[in-house]
Amino acid sequence: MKTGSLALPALLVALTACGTGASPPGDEASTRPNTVAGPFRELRDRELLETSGAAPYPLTSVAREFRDPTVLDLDRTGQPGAAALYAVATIAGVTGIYRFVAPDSRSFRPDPEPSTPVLRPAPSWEGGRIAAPSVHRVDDEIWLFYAGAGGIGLARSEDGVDFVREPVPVLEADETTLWEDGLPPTSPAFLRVTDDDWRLFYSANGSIGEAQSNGTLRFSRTGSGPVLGPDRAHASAFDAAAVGEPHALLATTAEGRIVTRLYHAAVDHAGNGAIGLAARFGIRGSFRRAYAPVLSTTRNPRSPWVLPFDELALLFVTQQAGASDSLAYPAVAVAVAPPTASLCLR
Amino acid sequence: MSARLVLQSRWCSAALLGAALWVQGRPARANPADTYGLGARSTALGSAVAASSTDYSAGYYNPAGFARGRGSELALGYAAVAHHLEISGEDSRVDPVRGVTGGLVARGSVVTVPVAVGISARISDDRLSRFRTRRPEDVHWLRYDDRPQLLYLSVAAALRPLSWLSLGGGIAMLSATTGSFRVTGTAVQPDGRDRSTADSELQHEVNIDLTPRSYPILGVSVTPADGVTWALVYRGEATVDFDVRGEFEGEVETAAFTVPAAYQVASRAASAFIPQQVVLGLEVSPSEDLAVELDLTYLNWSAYQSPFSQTDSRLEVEVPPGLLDLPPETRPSLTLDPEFQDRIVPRLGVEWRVDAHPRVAVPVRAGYFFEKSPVPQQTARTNFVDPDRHVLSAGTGLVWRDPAEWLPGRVRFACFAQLSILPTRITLKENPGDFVGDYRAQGTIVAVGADLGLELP
Repeated sequence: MKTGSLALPALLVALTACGTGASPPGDEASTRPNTVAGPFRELRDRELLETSGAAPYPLTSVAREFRDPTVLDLDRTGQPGAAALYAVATIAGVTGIYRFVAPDSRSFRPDPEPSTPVLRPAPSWEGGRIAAPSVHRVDDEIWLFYAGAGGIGLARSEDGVDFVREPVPVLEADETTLWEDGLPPTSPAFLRVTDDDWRLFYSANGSIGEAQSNGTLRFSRTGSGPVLGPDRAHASAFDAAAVGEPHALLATTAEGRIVTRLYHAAVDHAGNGAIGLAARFGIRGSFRRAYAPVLSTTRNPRSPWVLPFDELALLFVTQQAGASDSLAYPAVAVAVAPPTASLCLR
Repeated sequence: MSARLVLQSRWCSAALLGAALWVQGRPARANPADTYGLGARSTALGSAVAASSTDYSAGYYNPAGFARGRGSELALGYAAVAHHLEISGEDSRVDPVRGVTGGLVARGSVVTVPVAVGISARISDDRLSRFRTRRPEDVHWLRYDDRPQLLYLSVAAALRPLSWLSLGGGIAMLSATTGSFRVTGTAVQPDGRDRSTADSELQHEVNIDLTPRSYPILGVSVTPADGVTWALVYRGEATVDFDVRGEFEGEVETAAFTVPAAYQVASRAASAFIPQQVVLGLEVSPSEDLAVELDLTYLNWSAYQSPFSQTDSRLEVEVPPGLLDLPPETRPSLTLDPEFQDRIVPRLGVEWRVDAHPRVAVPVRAGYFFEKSPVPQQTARTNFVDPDRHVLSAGTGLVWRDPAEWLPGRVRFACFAQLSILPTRITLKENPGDFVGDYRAQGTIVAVGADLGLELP
């Protein structure tokens, strides 16, 4: 027998009926200025169009193994609309970064557009593998950072389909950075603070580091240590074993303070995965953890990507497609904040 | 093999929603008289009436006042409060408060000592009690959202052993809630888009009891000279518990199997808190037409305990491994010390009586008091929203002596309007990853009401 506190799961389960209108008291958007920061709940039935997979998975296939999503808002209206999702997948035997589209920012059709990868491993420094894409609109271009075997690379495009690589990585392994233990950086998260202040967060050796450039494509590491490491002070913490796969956003509090938010994957000592949030005031300094993970499921979510809108935010993650062993392959899932947001489509 | 379980059905969802709401934390509340006052005359005077109240409101302000009045009184009134409270520009939608007020004071004498007994009450016109549950981090207007929603009732007695001395005492009562719910039947686990939660067959029953919680009110009035009255009042502390127990007993049906399941949950919380109070009151009447009232109220808010519930739950279910999608383990309820601070509230009231007719007097009243919030800056996880409060009030009415031969005595009418101004209070969170974030709270509260009473000789 197992004993445990089930109050919160009960509440969450009670709210899973789409369109019930039930709201946990105090969780109205009006009473939580940071309501789009999290926590998130997974999408439920009728919140995805039938043209995509069943909620919370718009992209799920045992053969294609969709993973590492990154999303570009095509409409930029402040509301969910047309969007392009870039993810690693294996389609017709070809593994690469594919582009998928959705009319509502979440119901992505499983057939990519175009049907071929927008990026597949090529240069020797990539070592035959590319992963963890991170897409950004930079002026009139679309930039796609990605991880290869030798570091972090960048490809640029004018239309989001035809990408041209930079010839060399924008960030490589650094033997002098002790905490990285000589491992190559991976899982890039680009943040354009100003025109001449660019940041690149990355994973290495179970922690998250930060690099900076003055508006050029050569990033250099900031500081001698990671900006966020595992929570070693609390052995039972959800992020006690490792953190990684960052996604960075700039936000402003209701009182006008600039905040850098760093969403990240986290793993506890039992191997369970969750999505965490750390943040700092301003654009420099160490990050401080939120009180709780922003998404915690039994399917080990990782590789977060947050797409913020005016009144809600969507969180895209990679996680196991189901509870059973036969569904242990990766799939792209979507969650929403605030948990009371209603996205019913049907 | 055992595991935790997700139950998805309309009936079960409703029941578990109730359970989940019940077992989460609840904020502090006091009673409506503390917040807005009781009785039209007393409220118009800024509640600075410890030394002067003799009508039914003396059951709250100073029971000794019962022994200082004339004749017996019966009064009935109505008061309504509208909140305009906002957080960072968004309306917080704090419910209005409306209710019937009134009371009865019976006076007589034992031997030659004047004695009196009185009942005072405030009853909400749409509920007897309300408990709204929240998590520790939820943003909540601590003293205005649920606090005035309670039933208030006091019973007191008083005597005047000496012409200059009155003593009174009684108890005030609030309603506490205990309850249980039980769900039985078969809960269907949804399976993609094919199996609906509506296929569940569940029955539920809910039992709720309102039980009284009381605290003492003691008062003394001293009149050392004509036109001067001192008062000292003590109101006790009260904590209203909220207990709930629930259980599910039945079967869980999935596409692959059906298994028996049982779930029990119990929660206990201090859902309402009345701080003990000591009031020093003074009434000075330089002439028969004018009275000036001053009260200082000490409130022991530092005794306020964490409002968040302690919850125990247990699930017993046998399922094959890997076939149910289990929710993650939840963390136990927080027991954060709210660290409230004691406060002294100054109150001032002025009453001017105008004789409009040989048998009709028209009193004009005004009052003011200032409440500095007992709540410290909410820079950490909790979010008790509570700015300071400036309260302005005014009122009038009439006292009609011997309105008819068949109706000797006095008919009293009083009305009031009260404006509370809550200046902006800015909360800056120390954790930039706080799920609530920075906010500013401000607002106004408008209250109006009237009483009609009859004083018999």
